[in-house]
Amino acid sequence: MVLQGSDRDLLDACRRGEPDAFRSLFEAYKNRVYSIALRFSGDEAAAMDIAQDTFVKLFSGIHDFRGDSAFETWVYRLVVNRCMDHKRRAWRLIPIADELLSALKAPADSLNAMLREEVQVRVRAAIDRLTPDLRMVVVLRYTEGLAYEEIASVMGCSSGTVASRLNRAHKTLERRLSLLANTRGVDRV
Amino acid sequence: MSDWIDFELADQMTPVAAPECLWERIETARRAPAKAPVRWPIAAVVTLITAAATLWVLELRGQTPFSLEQLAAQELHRSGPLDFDSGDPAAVAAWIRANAGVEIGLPDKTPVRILGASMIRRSGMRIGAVRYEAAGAPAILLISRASAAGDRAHRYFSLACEGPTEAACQLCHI
Repeated sequence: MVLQGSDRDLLDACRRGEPDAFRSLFEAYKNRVYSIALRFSGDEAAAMDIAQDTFVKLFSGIHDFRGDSAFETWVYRLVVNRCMDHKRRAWRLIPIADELLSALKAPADSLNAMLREEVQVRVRAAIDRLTPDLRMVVVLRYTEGLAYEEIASVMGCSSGTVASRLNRAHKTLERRLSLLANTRGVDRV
Repeated sequence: MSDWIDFELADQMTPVAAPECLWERIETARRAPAKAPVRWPIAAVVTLITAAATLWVLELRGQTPFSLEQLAAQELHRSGPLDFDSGDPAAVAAWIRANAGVEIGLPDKTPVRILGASMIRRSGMRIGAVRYEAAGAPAILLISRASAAGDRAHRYFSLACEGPTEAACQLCHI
C-alpha cells in the first residue's frame, strides 16, 4: 500500500489524533520500515525494536513534518536514524556466532541446499561486517530499490557519495567473498 | 562489480512482510507512560537560583529605607512587655544608646511620663523605641541610625501618639 493523493488528509487526520489514521499510516509503511530494519540489522528481534521505535517516533512527531521533503523520504530518514542509533547501542554478535546459529537453523536435507545455505550465510555475514553507512546504502538500494538521488536525500549526502559508498560496498563484499565466488563458479558449471 | 555479488544482494536483500504483532507492540509502547527524564538536577538548580534570588531581593529590601512612620503607628498599639522598664530619662537614654547604638538626648525633667524602652529590628537596622504617655495618652518615639554603618549623630526619628502631638513632643522639647 502506498500513500498517494490522500496523503495530506491522512496526515491531517493523524495530527488530529485519529486512531484509524495512525493505523492506515502504519499499514502503508510497515513493510518498508520493517524490511529496512531487518536487512540492516540482520536480526528479527532487533528489526522489531527498530520498527517499533520508528513508528512510535513517527506518530509522536507527526507534527514535526513540515512538508519540506516527501513524506516517504521523512519516514525513510526516521527508520535510517533508528537503525543507526540501534547500531550504536547494540553489541554485535561476532560474525562466526551468526554463522554458527544460522548453520544450526539451516535445513541440511541435500548438498545443494546446504551449499546454498552456506552461501547465504556467508554473504549475510559479509554484509553485516560492512560499516553502517555502506550497509545502509546497500539496504536502501537493494531492499527498497531507491535511486541514488533518493538515497542521497534520505541520508543527507550527495548522489556522488551514494555512488561511492555503493561501489566501496561492492568491492568490499567482492574481496571478502572471493573464495565463495570461485565455489559458485564451479557450482554453476 | 561482479554480477554474482549484484545477484546475491538482490536475492538476499528482498523486502519482507512485517509481522502481524508489530502493530500491537507499537500500540503497547504508545500507551506505556514515557520514561520520565531525570529532572531532579534541574529542579535542584532552579531551587538554588530561586533561593539566591529571594535572598538577593530580601537583601535589596533591607537596604531600602522603610517607613519609620508606619512602624511607629504599628508599635503604638502593640501591647506587651517592654524590654526595659524605667521612668528615668537618663537610664532610658543610656539603654537606647547601648542597645540601639544611637544617641538620644532626653531632658532630666519632662512633663511626659516615661514608661520604658524597647529594641526593634527591621531589615538589619536596630531601632530604639521610647514608650511614654503624654497628656494621658500613649505615645512612642522611634529612633534609629541613618544607616547600619552610619555614625550615631545621624538619626531618624518618628513619633506616634494618640493625644496632641505638641504634648508628645515634650519628651525632648520642653
